[in-house]
Amino acid sequence: MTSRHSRFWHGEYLDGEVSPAQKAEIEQHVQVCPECRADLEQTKRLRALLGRIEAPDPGSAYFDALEERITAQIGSQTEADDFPMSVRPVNRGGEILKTLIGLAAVITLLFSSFYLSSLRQEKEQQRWAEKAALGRYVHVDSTGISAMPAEPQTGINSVGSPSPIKNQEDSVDGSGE
Amino acid sequence: MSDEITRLVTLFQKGDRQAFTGLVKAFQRKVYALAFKMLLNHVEADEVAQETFVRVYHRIGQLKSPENFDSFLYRIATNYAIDLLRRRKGRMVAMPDESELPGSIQLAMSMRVTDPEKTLVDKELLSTILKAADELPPRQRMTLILHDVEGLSKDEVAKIMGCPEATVRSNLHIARGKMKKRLGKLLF
Repeated sequence: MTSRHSRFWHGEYLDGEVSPAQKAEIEQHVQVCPECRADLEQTKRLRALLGRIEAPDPGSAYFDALEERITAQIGSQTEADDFPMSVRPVNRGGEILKTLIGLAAVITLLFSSFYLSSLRQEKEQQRWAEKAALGRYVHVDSTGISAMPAEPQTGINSVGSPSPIKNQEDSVDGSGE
Repeated sequence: MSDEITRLVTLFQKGDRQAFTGLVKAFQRKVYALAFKMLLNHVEADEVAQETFVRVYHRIGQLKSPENFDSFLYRIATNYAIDLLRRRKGRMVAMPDESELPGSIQLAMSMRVTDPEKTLVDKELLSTILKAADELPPRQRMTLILHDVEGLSKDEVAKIMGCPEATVRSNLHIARGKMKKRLGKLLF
């Protein structure tokens, strides 16, 4: 190192992190190199000054108030603040139960809608069968297959309610008469 | 780290809030002092101190070894201080002077400054050094403060900064180089 500058190692040298051989080399080099000698002195002085920097003491009253502010901030941020968020015990049983209830509700809803629609369909078929049995409103075409019901000929419409003409006749004010 | 601190950390991890209060009492002065050295003003140091403990409260579950609590704490404080320094960048920050602080704090600080032991340090030179440190990029500055001011080992600094030891060495070398260049003849 005597031929090379030693300044890159001055920090480690002062921190006591160089090997005995490196230490001897640095010490030998600074004897002959004024540039590195100056750098080593500068580094020593800088470190000494940095080591003497101290923060001011704001006093016990300040630290008491700081502690109160920390507690208040935590209290306002955490609803269930018996435990810190990261270590709060997780109610896994409760979570599973909630999920199961949700699933059961969805399944029930699906089954009920399916059941209701099939019930409605069944009733519809039953109604058509009854009507067919009565032989009313059923139009039989040339092939003999029953199709859409024929319009009633009397004052009753296709859904079985009285026709508008009939309604007029039954009106309270009797204007149709 | 003392056994008592390890015990408090363990209790706190089990949900004991009294243990957390004990940890605040044990470390608040250290955290404030570290933050002050990093940021060089009371208002921001106060913000770092408060926010650090709030974060510790919420993140204690992430700490695997209670023995490493101090590194965990300083890491949170350092990261928050770096965030503040980066937010400062690009905007003018009016540094509050001591006259703006509450009376009791002003008094405590002035007592410290007039301490005869401390006046041995060349206050003007120290102020120049702090200004030079203030101009360093955040991570270089933090490395310099943690190692040369706080006296932590490179291994400890690496843990706190969350980087390899080689990066600490490199940042330290660059930071010291810049400081020497800025301070020039003042160091002779």
